[in-house]
Amino acid sequence: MQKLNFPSTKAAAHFVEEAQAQGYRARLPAGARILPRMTVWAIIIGALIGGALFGVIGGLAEAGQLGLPRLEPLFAAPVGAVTALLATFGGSLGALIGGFIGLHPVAPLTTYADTEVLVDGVLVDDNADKAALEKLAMPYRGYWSDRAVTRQGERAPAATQHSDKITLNRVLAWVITVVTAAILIQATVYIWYLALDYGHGADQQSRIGYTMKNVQRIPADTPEQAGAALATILGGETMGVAADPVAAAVAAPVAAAQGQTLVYGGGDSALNPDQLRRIAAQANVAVVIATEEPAYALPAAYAAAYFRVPVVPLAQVVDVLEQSQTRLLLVAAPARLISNDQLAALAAYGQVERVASDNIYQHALLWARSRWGDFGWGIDERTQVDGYFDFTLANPDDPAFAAAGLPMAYSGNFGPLLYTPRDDLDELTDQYLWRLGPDYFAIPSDGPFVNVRVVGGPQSVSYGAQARADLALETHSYRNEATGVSGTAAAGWMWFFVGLAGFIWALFAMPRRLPDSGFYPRLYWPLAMLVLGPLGILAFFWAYQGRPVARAEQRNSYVRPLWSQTVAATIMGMGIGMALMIAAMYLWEFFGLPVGTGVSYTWWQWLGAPMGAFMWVLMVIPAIIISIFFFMGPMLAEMHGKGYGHGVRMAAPVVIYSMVAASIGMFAFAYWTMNWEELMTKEDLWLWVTPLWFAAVCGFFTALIPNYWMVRTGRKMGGM
Amino acid sequence: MFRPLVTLTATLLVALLGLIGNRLTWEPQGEPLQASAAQNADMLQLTGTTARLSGENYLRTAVAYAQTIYAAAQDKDRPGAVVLVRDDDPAVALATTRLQHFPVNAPMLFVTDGGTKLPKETKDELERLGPEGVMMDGNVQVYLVGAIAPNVNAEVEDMGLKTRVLYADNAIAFTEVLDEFLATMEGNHADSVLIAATEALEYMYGGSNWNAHMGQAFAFVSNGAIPPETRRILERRTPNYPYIYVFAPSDVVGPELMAELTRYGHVQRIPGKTPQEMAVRWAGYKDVGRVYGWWFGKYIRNVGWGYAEPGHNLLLASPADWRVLAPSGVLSHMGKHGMLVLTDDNGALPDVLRSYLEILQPPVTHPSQQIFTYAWILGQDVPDATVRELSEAISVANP
Repeated sequence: MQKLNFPSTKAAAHFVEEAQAQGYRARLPAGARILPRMTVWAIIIGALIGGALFGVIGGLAEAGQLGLPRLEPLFAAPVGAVTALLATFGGSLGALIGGFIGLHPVAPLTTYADTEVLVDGVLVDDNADKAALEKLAMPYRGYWSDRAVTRQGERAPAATQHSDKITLNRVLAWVITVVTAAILIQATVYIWYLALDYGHGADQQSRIGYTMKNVQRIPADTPEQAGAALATILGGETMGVAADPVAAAVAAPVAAAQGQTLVYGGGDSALNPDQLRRIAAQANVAVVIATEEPAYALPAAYAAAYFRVPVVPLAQVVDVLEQSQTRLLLVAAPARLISNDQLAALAAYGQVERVASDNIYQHALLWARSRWGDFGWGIDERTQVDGYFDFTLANPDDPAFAAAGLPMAYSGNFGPLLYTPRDDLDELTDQYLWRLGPDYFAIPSDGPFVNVRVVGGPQSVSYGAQARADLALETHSYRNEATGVSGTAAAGWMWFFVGLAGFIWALFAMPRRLPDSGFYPRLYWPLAMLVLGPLGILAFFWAYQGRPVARAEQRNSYVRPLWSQTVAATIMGMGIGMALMIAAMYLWEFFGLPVGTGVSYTWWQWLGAPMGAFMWVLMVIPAIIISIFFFMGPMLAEMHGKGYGHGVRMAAPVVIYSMVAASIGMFAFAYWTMNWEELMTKEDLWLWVTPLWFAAVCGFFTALIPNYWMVRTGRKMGGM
Repeated sequence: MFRPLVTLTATLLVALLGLIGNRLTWEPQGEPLQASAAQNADMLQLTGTTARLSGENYLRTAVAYAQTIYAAAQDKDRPGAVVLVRDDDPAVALATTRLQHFPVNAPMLFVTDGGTKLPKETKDELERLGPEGVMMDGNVQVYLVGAIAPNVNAEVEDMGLKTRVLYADNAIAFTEVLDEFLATMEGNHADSVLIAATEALEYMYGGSNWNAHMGQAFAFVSNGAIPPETRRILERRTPNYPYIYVFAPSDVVGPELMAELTRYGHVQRIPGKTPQEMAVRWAGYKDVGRVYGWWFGKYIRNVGWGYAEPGHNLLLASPADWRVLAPSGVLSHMGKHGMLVLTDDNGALPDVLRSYLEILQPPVTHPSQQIFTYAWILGQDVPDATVRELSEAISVANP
């Protein structure tokens, strides 16, 4: 490569542009390099490790193998969303950590050297016609020289933009940045905190009883009372059975086959083995149970009762079942209750399959999900997305209650048995219910609906556990699960996590890697990443990567093509502007939006709506005012070396043009989502992030238009 | 001061302070219900497919509805607000159900003694509910609607609850007050308008519950005439025009009045010669068509439940006491989102309802795809035998 020298970076850059247009291979040698090679690899590896680690956690949870305590509302989202969400979180975290590895500080590109006049060179192809290039370079050598360093031996003034000097202007801008970012972080963290710390319920002593919209409770405090209550509730003929969960499990399919309601504790006569043999002879499936720990037998007995399939204690298999090679023999006990050896001995009576988990909650879920041909509930939350389901909920520590509830397996609005501990809904069960929680697509009465009936008193299943199931099962709009996470909400959070990582990283990376950047860009770029997510990060690289630095009028200026200047100028206003608008919206939502009732009964009544035109006033005007007086005003004052008042006067039109344009994009998107996509949300709901953050992206694009014009006409700088 | 670590730490500290402040706004933690599961079992009687909701009196029955919908066991299952109505003004109560819909999200409870007393039943429930406030209305927690005395408002405010008074001294005037308030809050006058006759409110029961579900506009005609308030309500839909649904048979709202209503917009009458029949016909009624269309956007009107298949739920009540019926809108607004149907005056299922139940009865399939129908039984005026008949009629059957 050969080298041509120019009096300034700007001149060199313009020459390169022209030379390239004429087909020369010419480039500027020294531009900003944001990421060292090692950091790039660290980010990639960090993102992969973090993404894989958290993704596996999400995947295991979605597979029903792992509980995410308190984060069950995530499972209201479609299958795969929890994995994707956690993987994105982990990936962002890993990339953030990786982003600091090898991120050593670099020297400024502008050296402010005492003697250098020719500040930059251009590398051109060896084969290029040097003479022709010199001719081409001639006009550029005469322009854009950096006045600060044109005379040999004159010391350039110290760069002031990135010093740590504390001025009132800077303090104002810094405080407003910190507070705005803190509001956004608080708002978003609170949504997760609310999920993690749920349960601050009201005093319930004035309640009439336990009935809730999606979960009712059998009115009984003992299993025997529950048996009697169900006889009344379900009506019809009854079959009494001894107050023994195993006896009830065995008798339930017989009662079901005979059209009778099983009454737990309603009799003590033993079941006639012939009755059991009779249904065994008619079924090609049988359930084998252990008599110890009957909590394991009951989820299977619920299925067996509905499908009229015999429930046979292990010791009675020989007595009750004929030998068969076609029968499916499902063993509802973990290996510690029925060993593998015992299982092998059953082979003569059918094809043996163990359907059990040591985790009793998982065990019940296994039976609720599974299906073999036409036997089994088959309510698999990963594939059944729009069903009507009914469940009985009981505590496995009190299997007698679950046994008393057996008639609900085959009578009334029937369904499988699920388990929960007393105080709090089991997390696997909770995840299952959130995933089955119904979605409506047109109006909520369209259905589907899911219902649960609890059997057991508050000592067995608490009010709180019942209420949790009630919350999980409320029907919600598909795109706005409200109390749960929808796919739309998950997408918004994924976007947000990337931006949050970008925010933290950019705070530290800019001083290290872009030492020529000023004080203010180091505030507004991180904010831009926070509100624009991946787009903010992308814009950052568009603005800085490979850009040489020029000095003009005592300022460092990155030399960028016009489009990149437009991006940088837009971010200059939008980093703080967008963040302020979203923060303003949050505060209004938190404290309650005012209704302009003063315009009621007039033609202007529509102006009073807080979510209509009025919202623009509430959200944009405060953001514009704060930006002018506390951020852009002080910034422009400093950059132009003028007083605060002058800075504010300069800032006002720039901020107004930019933010009005941005707000048009934001509001167009918000109006569309609210009115046509039913994405109306609230500051403490999971969906809150999505419409606002995606609206910010729209706002960014609409703000490019006036910024292009302002950069082009010199009203705004695109080199910051 | 401006070092990145300082900036980040300051940001996180301010965020933490905000979080702590936010946490401090939470209602104090109360005791969960520890009572016997059999407490008041007769008032909350269950069958395989139904559940009764009632209290010792109509005040507590309204409370039972609120307790059913809002468990108030965590932040997310509290209502946005509570609507208080007088217990002697059925027209105002029925006109108010549209306010219960989102974004307000509120149960309806009563004030007594001519709108001058906040009864203990209501007060206890207000305390239990701890409404979180309506974001779109300055976090208002309680709406006092109709002619309720200022002392009740003062008492509610003394409980630390933010109120809004929507006052009118009669029901017809109230419809305009409410319409204008909601139109201002939502930036739009709802274009579908349900119309009832003040002299035949019992035909409106089903429509009133629908309005808690969908929040459409509501107005009255009275004694064969269109009151000026209603005329103004209908005119305010401009530049659009209203789609009017009349909940009264022809002997209450005659053809002349129907014709007069057409001067304002598109008019339809809900079929049914008795309140029972109209409730069932309304459950099966659906009117879908234009309400608004522009170059890009369109809204369709989607008026009426319109169900002719299983898997949609019912509220069954006796028409005897409007105070058991009017607050049940909240059961159409959330949870089972039930359609209100009525028994005969003697508490039996009317034949028109029996034949509708044949449509709602789910045929057996496989549990993984089984559809179910549920019903709430409202108050204590529906006899057990009727409940049993309904329960059987909506149970999964082998056809």
